Amino acid sequence: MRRGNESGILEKAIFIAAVILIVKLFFLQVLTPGYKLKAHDNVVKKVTIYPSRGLVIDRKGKVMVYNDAVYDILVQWNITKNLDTLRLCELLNTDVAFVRKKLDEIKRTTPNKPTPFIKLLDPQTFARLQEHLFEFPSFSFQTRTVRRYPFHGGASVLGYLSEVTENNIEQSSGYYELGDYMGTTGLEQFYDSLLRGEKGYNFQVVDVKNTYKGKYKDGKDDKTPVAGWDMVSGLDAELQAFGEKLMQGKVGGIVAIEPSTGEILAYVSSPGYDPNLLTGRYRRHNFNILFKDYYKPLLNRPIQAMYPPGSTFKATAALVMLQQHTHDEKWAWFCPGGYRVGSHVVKCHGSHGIPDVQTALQYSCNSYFCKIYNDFIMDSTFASPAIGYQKWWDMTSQFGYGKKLGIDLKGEKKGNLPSVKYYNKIFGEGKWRAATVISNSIGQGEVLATPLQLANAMAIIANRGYYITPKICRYFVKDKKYRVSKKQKFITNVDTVYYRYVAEGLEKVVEAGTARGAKIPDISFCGKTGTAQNPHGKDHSIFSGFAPKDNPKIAIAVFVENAGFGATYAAPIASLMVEKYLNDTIAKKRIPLQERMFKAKLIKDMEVGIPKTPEQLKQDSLAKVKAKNDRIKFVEDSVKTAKQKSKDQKEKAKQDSSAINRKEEEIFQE
Amino acid sequence: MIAQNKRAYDPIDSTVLYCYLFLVILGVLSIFATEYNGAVTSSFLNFKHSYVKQATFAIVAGLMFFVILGFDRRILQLISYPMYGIIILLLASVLFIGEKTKGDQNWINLGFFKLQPTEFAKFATAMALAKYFDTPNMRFVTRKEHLTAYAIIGLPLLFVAAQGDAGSCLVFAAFIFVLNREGLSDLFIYLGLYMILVSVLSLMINQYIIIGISIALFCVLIYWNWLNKQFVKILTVLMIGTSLYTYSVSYIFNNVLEKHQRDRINVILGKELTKEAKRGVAYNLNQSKIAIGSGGIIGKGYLQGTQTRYNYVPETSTDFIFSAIGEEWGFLGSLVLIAVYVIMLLRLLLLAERQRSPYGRVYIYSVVAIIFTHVVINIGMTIGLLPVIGIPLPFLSYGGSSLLSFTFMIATALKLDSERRMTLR
Repeated sequence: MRRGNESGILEKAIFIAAVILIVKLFFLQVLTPGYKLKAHDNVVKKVTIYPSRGLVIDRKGKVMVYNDAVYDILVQWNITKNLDTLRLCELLNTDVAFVRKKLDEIKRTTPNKPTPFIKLLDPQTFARLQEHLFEFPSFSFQTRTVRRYPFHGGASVLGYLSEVTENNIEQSSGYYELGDYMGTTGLEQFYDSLLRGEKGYNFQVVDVKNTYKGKYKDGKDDKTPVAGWDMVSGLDAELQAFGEKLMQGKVGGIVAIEPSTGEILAYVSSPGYDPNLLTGRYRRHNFNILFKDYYKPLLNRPIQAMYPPGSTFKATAALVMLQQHTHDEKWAWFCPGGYRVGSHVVKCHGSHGIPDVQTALQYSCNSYFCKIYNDFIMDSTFASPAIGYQKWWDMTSQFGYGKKLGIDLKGEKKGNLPSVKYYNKIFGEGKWRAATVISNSIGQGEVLATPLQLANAMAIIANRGYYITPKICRYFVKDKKYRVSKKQKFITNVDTVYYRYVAEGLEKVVEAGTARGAKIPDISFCGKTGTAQNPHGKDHSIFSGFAPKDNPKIAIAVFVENAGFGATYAAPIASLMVEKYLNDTIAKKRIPLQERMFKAKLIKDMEVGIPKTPEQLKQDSLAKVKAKNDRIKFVEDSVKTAKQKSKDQKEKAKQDSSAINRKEEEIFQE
Repeated sequence: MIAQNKRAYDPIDSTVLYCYLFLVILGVLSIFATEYNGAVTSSFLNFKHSYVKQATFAIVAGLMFFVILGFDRRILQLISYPMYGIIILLLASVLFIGEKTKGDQNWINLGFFKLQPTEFAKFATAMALAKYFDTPNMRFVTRKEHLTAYAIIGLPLLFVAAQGDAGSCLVFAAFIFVLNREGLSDLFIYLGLYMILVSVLSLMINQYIIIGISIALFCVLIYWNWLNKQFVKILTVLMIGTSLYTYSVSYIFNNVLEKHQRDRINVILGKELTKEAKRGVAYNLNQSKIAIGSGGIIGKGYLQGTQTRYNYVPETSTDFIFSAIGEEWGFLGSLVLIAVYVIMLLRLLLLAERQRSPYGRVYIYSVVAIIFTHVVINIGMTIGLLPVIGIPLPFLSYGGSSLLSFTFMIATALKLDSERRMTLR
């Protein structure tokens, strides 16, 4: 009873379908590469273990920079449900809008894996959250470290870390990854590769919900992190802090060098800021404030600010003259109260009779130095003034002017020592004489120097003829292994005997000359004041010197912008620094001077610290109007007050929870 | 007498039996592989694990196998209609008391067992259809005979469609192969293929373009041979039919199908997807392809499949069990699996053709059509050839209803075959 279609379409269909399935499987499993890698990427999670970054220790063994644990709070969006936003806000001390915005962002970008929700949360807030973390199953945390600065200073020299940019990642040849932090200024930047250590990795197998399922290959590919090298610096943390306190409320910088080694003892850039402000969660908030500040606290003044050296330049001018035998050390010249160049007179302060080189230094006689400069360049042994100037330039530049000294910080400026070429271009070849460029003789005009260069010039005189490249880092140490960088010595071709004359002259400056007020009991302090004319405002107050006269231990340069005479601020500050360094204390009778320097405020403070909540910001804007009315209010300690203020306002805000100011809320959320 | 007995009761077909055993055991092992977490703990044999349950189902299925072999074939024939009736009732009741656990699948919760009537409906429909073709003087030529046969298939199909179980609908549609075997014109198969082609085209390209093309083609062909009235008549029907069908396809696609079903089809057609679909359907399908693709030629080895064991592929123990096999056993393993299915189906076809009664032939033929559809759709969806349709891989996928139903099908087929000589010609 067979009927119908025996041949069977079904049989053919089975064959055809089997062939199609097998061909497709062949393509999928044999011919298409890349699926293995995709499966690997799915399952294997690389967990970075961050090494502890090297410490920075001062010359006396005090820790200047250490690491502190902070926490990134991560959230995996796709397993988040029934989130109690209000509770989370309460625990994290933020507002609902912020949480919503952040969650929305994560939902759009990486919903399937734990993504930083709040970065670098401080331990106090974290401790509060951790107890309740079980209420938020999709939240986890990872430990990170941030830098901490127990001395709350030295920001410009120590530098800060910031999140790497695409550029950094490219340049690091694969070391850095998105979200890593690296040194971007100061020592952190210069020695980043030594300080950072080496990251470690754990390869983990995770399931689709990102739960840990075991080690990949039993941890065969894992790598333990290697800690960074600790740096022992030449800085004296206490002297540094002292210098920063002295420079409070003033704009300028201090550089102190140990002449025999070239080690930097103190490195103050003012206005400074507490480097702790640029770590952790409020980094960007604070950075923006610092960045926008009128006085540019982020400028690294000791190496980046260039000032006319003013009269401090005369010390090297004297040495150059003596070495060239333009005049000998006994030669004296009558100062008529000024030096006439054509119709222009370079004026002199007071009258000092007929000064020789030491007296001229003592009273900072402009006429004398104009005269010797003129005589040097216009000497008949030179065929032309240009040749004479070139000789003067050669000899002066030996003292480190007009070139980078090679300090271990990035961004060092060259200063300026105008060349023959430069003057030829301006005045025309053969059309200028010494008198045309006479302001160089007293450190004015085109001559520009950084505070570092001035301190270094004094170190040369202190060493009687040489300097060692100034460095902040002494050596690196890790597990009793050391890394020392070579020291380079530069010798000037000025005879030692001339240094003696000049040193004696510089001693007289402090003993009985322009810097009488800066005299330190029992210490022979040599130095030179300077008052640099400033076309934009009040003169800059400058002082550079070294002490003691014999076997000097410290060479120092102090700049205080718009502060008037060198003797007013710079010289006392320098003397206090020297006294502090050499004697460890300030003599009782000089305490009033110290207090006066501490308290002298020439600028107002910055508004940094913990960002304010919208309510606080609203109050703040009211406060700003008030402040405008009763004019500028100077604050004692910028950081302390900012913190105190925000604390007070937080309490106030609790009482008055008024409506939210939308615009300023955005600022708060970075 | 003894010799006659020997002739009348053949031993059951060993090829099919071995294939069946191979598939069931591979199924339990694969389900184990997707769940096993690497540690043998005290809860290793706990009933919360799918593999323990599936092993239990397999043992029950084995017992049922023997029970069915113990039945007289006449009893099997006798209960065909009543069973069909009961299943129809169950299908109807599922619409009211059924539980929605996985989107479009409906279950009846019996407390100890979640019954899925749809799976048993396929078995019962095969039996009922066989029984109908076994009626004396049945020739499958009259309109009444045709309509009755369609109704037997169509009734459960309606209920399954009402549940929204698209996969099972397709399985019932596969009964067209059986009808074709029994005399239904090949034209219907070709018409089916034509309809699939037109649907795919109208979804991929704009429906109006398809309608436009068919009208243009119609005009050209009419101009070429307009004198043949028969030709013009057929062509006109075809043209109007195609146009209406094309229109209805896009209507159904946009208005009747649910969003997730549209997404599944869009993924396969390579259309632009919504964000949600990318994260859902497309992500799942991609993970399945990664699992199978990463298996390579020889696979990662048993219990080494990361994609399927760590849940990157969804539903690995049920609908996507093939992903686990493809990942752990590679191309060679997949090849063997498909070969086993092909051998089993071809052998069953052979058994069908050697039956003396229409009952046995139609029944076994139906079983082949059902299993074939399941295998093609299930494997096709895991490797991205067909839209993702929730339908188990016979004998392998986790699920008691499915395993028991397929066991009934095979056991009954083998029982019928072993007693085929008992039937008088």
